[in-house]
Amino acid sequence: MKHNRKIMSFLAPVTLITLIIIIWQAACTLLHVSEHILPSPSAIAVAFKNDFAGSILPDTFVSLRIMMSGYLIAIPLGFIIAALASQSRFITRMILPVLIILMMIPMATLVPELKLFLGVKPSLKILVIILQTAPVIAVNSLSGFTHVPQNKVDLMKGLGCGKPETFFRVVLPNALPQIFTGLKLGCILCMIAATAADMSVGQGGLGYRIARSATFSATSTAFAAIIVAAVIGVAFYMLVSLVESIVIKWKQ
Amino acid sequence: MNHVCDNFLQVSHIAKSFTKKKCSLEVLHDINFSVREKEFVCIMGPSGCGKSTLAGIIEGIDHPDKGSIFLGGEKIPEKTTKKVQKRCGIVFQQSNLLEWKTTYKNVELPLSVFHMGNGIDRNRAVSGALELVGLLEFKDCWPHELSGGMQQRAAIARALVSNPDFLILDQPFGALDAITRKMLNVELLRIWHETQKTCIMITNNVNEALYVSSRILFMSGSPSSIVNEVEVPFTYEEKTAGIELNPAYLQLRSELNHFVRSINKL
Repeated sequence: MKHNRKIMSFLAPVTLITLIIIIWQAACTLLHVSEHILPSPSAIAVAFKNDFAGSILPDTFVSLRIMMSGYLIAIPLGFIIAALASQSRFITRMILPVLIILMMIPMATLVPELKLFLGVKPSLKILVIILQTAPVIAVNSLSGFTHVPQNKVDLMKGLGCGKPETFFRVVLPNALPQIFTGLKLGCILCMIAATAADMSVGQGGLGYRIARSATFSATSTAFAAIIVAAVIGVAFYMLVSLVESIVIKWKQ
Repeated sequence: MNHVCDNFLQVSHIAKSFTKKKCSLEVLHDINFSVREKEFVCIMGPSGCGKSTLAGIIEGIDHPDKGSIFLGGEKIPEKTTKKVQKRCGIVFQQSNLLEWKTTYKNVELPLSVFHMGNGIDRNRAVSGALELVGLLEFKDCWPHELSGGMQQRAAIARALVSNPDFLILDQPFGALDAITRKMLNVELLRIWHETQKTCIMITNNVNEALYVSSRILFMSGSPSSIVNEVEVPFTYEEKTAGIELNPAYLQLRSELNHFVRSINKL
């Protein structure tokens, strides 16, 4: 039974995706759609094969590097902001609206402004990713840190624990599910921010490849790069989910 | 040294008010009582009379406006420390287990907080406490996998594991069904008999109070004080051998029920 369910949960989405590809291919062939307007899946596959070594692979590496740098800086940053802000209700009230505003601003739109200060550098893209992901990680962690059930706080008080010990023994583990919500939202925003930053900064990356290919009507290459970006995003999300299921053992 | 201390735990002139929307509400008004060593005292009172507030003060979680608590003749300082809290085992209203720890790790928590024992010693203490409450074979379960009654047993094991001087239970079985509650009362009485711990239990159930305790204190409605005190004159052996049919027990129970109804009307 359990084995069957596993096969089902894999087969169900694969069936739909296969169906979409077949309909897409059939529509492109039967309706004679121009390859420059909407390339068929087979044209995309050909473009992927031709451009993989030359442009898509190097651009993937560029994207992965800036995404990882940005995300790995954003995690501790968001975390420290949340941990410090949660120490006082006044600071929480003060900082939460600012974090929410930062979370809502599409950071790539600030690239022209940031260029004025920093010039065009790879670190500019990393900065965009940090600005986009750190707030969502901080907001979710902060919400976890500030919503601790009173009876658990009382339990620690009853054991004579001070604030720092209570934080590490109760507040932090209690917040872990919400922290992981933040980390998962963060990895979605990280992919979006990285692609958008590539588009407006240039200097390689999948977003740059998509924008450039579209400019030169190499639509099938653009689609190939979009699909690679999507696959990276999904893999990234699944990786974080996997870590979540290892860390949060008690919720299965 | 078989000397039993008469004033083992002394609650002296405790008063507490809460301020809500600019009006001050006096909840506890001059609460005085003392508990003998190895005694089991129940505290009853109408709902909202401040029973849990009083429990919080004795537990060291809350601070009184006036008055103090003495333990073994020593005044408990206002600033709570691990050294002071180690003397008091607490069983909360809900089991209050940490859901990210297994039953074993939950019971181990006080030992880890107080840096007590290590390795084999600690394992022996935790296993002993789990065995006492009959949960040893469930030690690797997560709290959500335990029934409500089992969760409360684990909470009792956690309160006992660090070998505190006294135990305070704040309506520990209030959320359980009647049958489980009755069974846990039997267990609790046995644990008290085996461990010889001084126990204070807050309850709202006359049957429960009569069955487990050796003395019952009654609080009036707020601002509350102790208005009555009843000795329960039955031995452990009498209680475990079908006390429900004992005429003296039935007589006392009906008197107490009558009294509880009368203070609830005030």
